[in-house]
Parts: sequence; structure tokens; C-alpha cells
Amino acid sequence: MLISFIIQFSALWFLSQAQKKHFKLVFNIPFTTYIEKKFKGLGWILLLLSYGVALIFENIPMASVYWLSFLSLNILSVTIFNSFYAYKFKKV
Amino acid sequence: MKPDFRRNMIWLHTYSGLLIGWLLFAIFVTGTLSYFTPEISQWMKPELGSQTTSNKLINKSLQMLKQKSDKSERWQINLPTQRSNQFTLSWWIKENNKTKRNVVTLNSQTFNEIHVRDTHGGNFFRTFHYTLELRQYGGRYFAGIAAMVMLIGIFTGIFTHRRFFQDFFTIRVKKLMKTVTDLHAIVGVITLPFCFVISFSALLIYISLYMPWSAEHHFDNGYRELNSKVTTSLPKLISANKTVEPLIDLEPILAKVEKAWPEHSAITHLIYERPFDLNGRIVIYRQAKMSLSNKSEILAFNAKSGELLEAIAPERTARMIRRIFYGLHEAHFAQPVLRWLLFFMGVASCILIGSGLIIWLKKRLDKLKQRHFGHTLVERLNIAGICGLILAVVSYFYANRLIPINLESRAVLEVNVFLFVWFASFIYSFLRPALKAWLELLFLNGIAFLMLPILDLVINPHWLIQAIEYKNMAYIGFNLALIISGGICLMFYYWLRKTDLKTHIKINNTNHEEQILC
Repeated sequence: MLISFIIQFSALWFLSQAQKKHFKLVFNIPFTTYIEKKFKGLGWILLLLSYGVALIFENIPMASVYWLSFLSLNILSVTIFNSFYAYKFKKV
Repeated sequence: MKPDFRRNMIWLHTYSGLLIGWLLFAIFVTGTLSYFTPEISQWMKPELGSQTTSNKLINKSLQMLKQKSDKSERWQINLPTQRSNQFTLSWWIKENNKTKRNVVTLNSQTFNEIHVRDTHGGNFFRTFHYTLELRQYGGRYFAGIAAMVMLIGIFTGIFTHRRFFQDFFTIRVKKLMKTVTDLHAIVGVITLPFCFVISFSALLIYISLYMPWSAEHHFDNGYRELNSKVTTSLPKLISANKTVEPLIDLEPILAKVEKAWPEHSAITHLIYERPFDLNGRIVIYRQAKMSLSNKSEILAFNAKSGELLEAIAPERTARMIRRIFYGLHEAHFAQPVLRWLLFFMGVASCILIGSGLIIWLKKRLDKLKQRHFGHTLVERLNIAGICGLILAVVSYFYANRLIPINLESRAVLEVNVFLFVWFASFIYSFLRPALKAWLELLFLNGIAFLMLPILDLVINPHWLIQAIEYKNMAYIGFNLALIISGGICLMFYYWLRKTDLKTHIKINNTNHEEQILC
């Protein structure tokens, strides 16, 4: 389950970086459509993968509850990560 | 989407939230605490100590029950689990056409009787979150209305935030109100599925209360009759009118249980029906872990032959769906990690509601030249509803340790302390300037949380020492949770004070003294 949690965190981080607003807080390179597509694609693939991994450990209903709970925690974690990064480098 | 529609949604979101926000906050705080009902009860009943569990307890318990009475109609053994340290034996005796239940709480190591203090324990928060201590006065209807309003708030909230997905990965941390607004948006997103499931399932649980008309129209006995028709259970046990000695060695049956439930065979309790009858039946209840449904997983055996009896027939799909929502609401299946995750989402929901109430007031006060009583009332209700409620919760724990054990109706007194402190904090919020009241109550909360484990240690150090010795994580974890809660309250207090000081300096420099009062 921990593996699913980590994969999901990575997925959400990529999805957050697929948005210009968040990307420019972290990277110093220009945001392009190519980057957006790559990050978005990778994010969605990892998100699906994290659910698949959760299904290995639990039955479908239980895995879904775990996965949704992880989703909430990971969105908050990515938010805190982005906010902290932005705050640290005084971009907000 | 027409702009008018969005404006209507914003209006509905704002005022539905304001109207019932404090009630929702109280329901969510107590509901969130209910995820740890057995753990809280464990801390509040320290006389129980740290119990060890084993299936070996069953045989000894059966022997003990046999000695209690030879006229028992039914026996029940509740085994201690990782979450609950209650080890109880119950037996029912028929006297003058009435069946009387007798209960004894035991120490699992010595089998000596334990006299536990009179307290509602964590169960108080569980019942409060849906009855509001007004069971006879429509408390469950108020809770139902609150759940309905929460659903409205969730859906209108989606329309209120235009850049729903663009915004939810950042929080602006430099300005207090921007932080609160971003926090409101982010927790709104992350708790969306949680709040929907909790509010919807709350309505489903008491559907018979909120929508009784259909059942009343179709059945003479209303929902009760409908319930009995759609619920499947074991067939009624008919007496053989032949007395036999009860079974007191359950090993063969427990072996069958392990075979039937190979993945997870932990038992919470067992019921022995008609132990002195030839047709006696033993029903074993599995610890909830594998299924979301709140329907107990059981195995029934013939007490005489030890033969596994026919399983309960599956219920109708609609009934099963309701049971799954019921299970999701109570989360009885949740193991520690998932339980903490659900607790975290409960806390996030409380932050969502609390921040919404603060934003409503702040946005209006910023535009106003002169405030009226409504604003003051909302301001004070925010203080009492948020900080006051937390203080009431911690006071309830203090009452548990400080009210003398032999006092009559001490359980009721504990609840009264909770209600009194909550009310007192409301009065206090009117007596002090708003910001000072926030800060003082926050500080008091922090100190109260931090002092409680110390008080526990001073009253009887043996409780904590035994918990450490037996690695009783429920007891230790509760004390740790108190310390962390106290730390968070104090951190928030210092942060708010620092922000307040900065605001004071800024405002003084620009000669807007009136704003200080806001």
C-alpha cells in the first residue's frame, strides 16, 4: 500500500507541474505545450498505476477506499510541497 | 453556464454554510472523534488496564458462565481486541416473563471482576454527533438537516470556485486571509468525496426517520415491518425441551472457524443461545476487516454436534447498498492506517467548515463601515463554536479524571461539564474583545491538552506504566494525541499573535485604528 501511496504522490506532483502556475514556481525553464503534455500524460498513467498497485494488496472496495483516502492526503501533500517551495524561494 | 446561476450558487453556498455552519462543525468534530470511540473509551476507563486476548479465554469464560446460573437463556462473551480492552461476560435469565441481562467485566489474566467507573467514554461523541444530546427533542432531525445542508454546500461549492483544478495545488502563505481562503478551497477539494459519502450515508442511515411515508403506507407496522422483511438473519431457535450439559470446550469449533476464515479469523464476540438445551446454538462473530458492509460476518454451529449450520441468506441489493454506506460512515472495517486517514479527512472537513465561517465574517467586515449585532453574534459564535467546542471536549476528559469515582450519575456529570464549558466559552467570547478571546481560548486549549497527560500520570502512574509494559498503543496513542493537539493549539496561538502584532503595527502606521477591533 505504501508503494501505491508513493506512486500516487508522484502522479499528483506531475499533474500539478503540468499547470503553468505551478510549473513556474519550481522550474526556471519556459513552460511549453510539449512539457504540459508529457507531465499530464505521465501523471495520469502513474495515477492509474497507483490504483492498480492498490488492487494487488486489497479487494476492490477496500482498495478503492484506501486509494481515495491517499488521494486526499497526497493532494494536500503536493500543495504543501508546492507552497513551501514557492515560499522558500519567495515567488508567492 | 449563465452568470446568474453561478451567483445563485455562491449565495446558496454562503448562506447555507452560515446558517448551519456551527452545528455542522460540532457534528464533524464529534463525528471525527468517533473514529476512535473504543480507544477514547479505553483511556476513559483506566481501571480496565491492558488486556491480553486469546481464544483460550473462551473456554474459561464458558466454565465461568456455567457456574453463574443453570437457567441462562443466553450467554455472550465479548473478547478484548486491539482497539477495545473490554472483556465482558453476559448471561440472560428469565424471571417473571422478563429476561434480565447480567454483565460482568473481567481482567483477562486473572479473571477477577473489575469495577469500571461510570462513564459514557468515547460513545458520548458518537451519540452526540447524531443526536446532539437532544434525542427526545428532534436532535436526529437537526443532524439530518445539517447533513442535507452539507450536501448543498458541497455541490454549490463546486460552482462557487471558478478555477477549481487550477488553484488546488498552492496556498498563499504570506497574508492571513489569503491563506485561510486557499485553505478553504484546498480542503474543499480534498474532502469532496469524504464529505459526500459521510453526508449522504448519514441521510441513508436514518432514512426511516426522514422519509417514513412510503413504509407507513405499505406496511401496518411501518419501517419496522419493512426492516424485518428485508433483513436476513439466522432462523429462530426452537427449544428441544431436553436439558443437556453445555459445551465448555470450544477448541473443535474454533478449529473449524479458522478453516472457514483462513485469511482473518479474529473473533470479537460469541453468543451461546440456549446453552442448557439440546438445540443450543453457538454464533461466532468475526472482527470486521474484510468487508465495507456493516453486516456482521458470522458462523453458527450446533452446540451439541459442533456441526456448522446453514449461513444467513444474502440480502437484497438495495439493502446491501445501504449497509455499505452505513459501513463507510462508521468505518468499522478500517485498520489503523486507514482509520488515521479517515480521521485526517474528518479534521480537514472541520477546517473546511471553520474556515468558511471565518471567511464569511471577514469578507463582510472588510466592506462595512459600521457593524451591526448580527456580525458580532457571528463573530462570537465562531469563537465559541470553534475554540469553545475544543475546550469543551478537553474538559470532558478532565471531568473523567477529576469527578470522584463513587459519585452517583457521574457519567451524566461528565456530559454536563462538556455542555457547561461550551456555553461558558460562548459567554466568555462576549466579555472579551474578539481577537483576545480567540487567543486566550487557543492558549487555554493548548495548556489544557498538554496538562492532561500529566494529570493522568499524577492521579495514577500505574495506568501509563502498564500501558507501556503491555504496548497498549490505544492508551499511549491517546496521550500522544493530547500532547500533539496541545502543541498545535499553542503553535497556532503564537502564529496568530505574531500575525496580529504585525497587523497592529501596519494599521497604526496608516492611522486606521478602527480596523483593529475587527
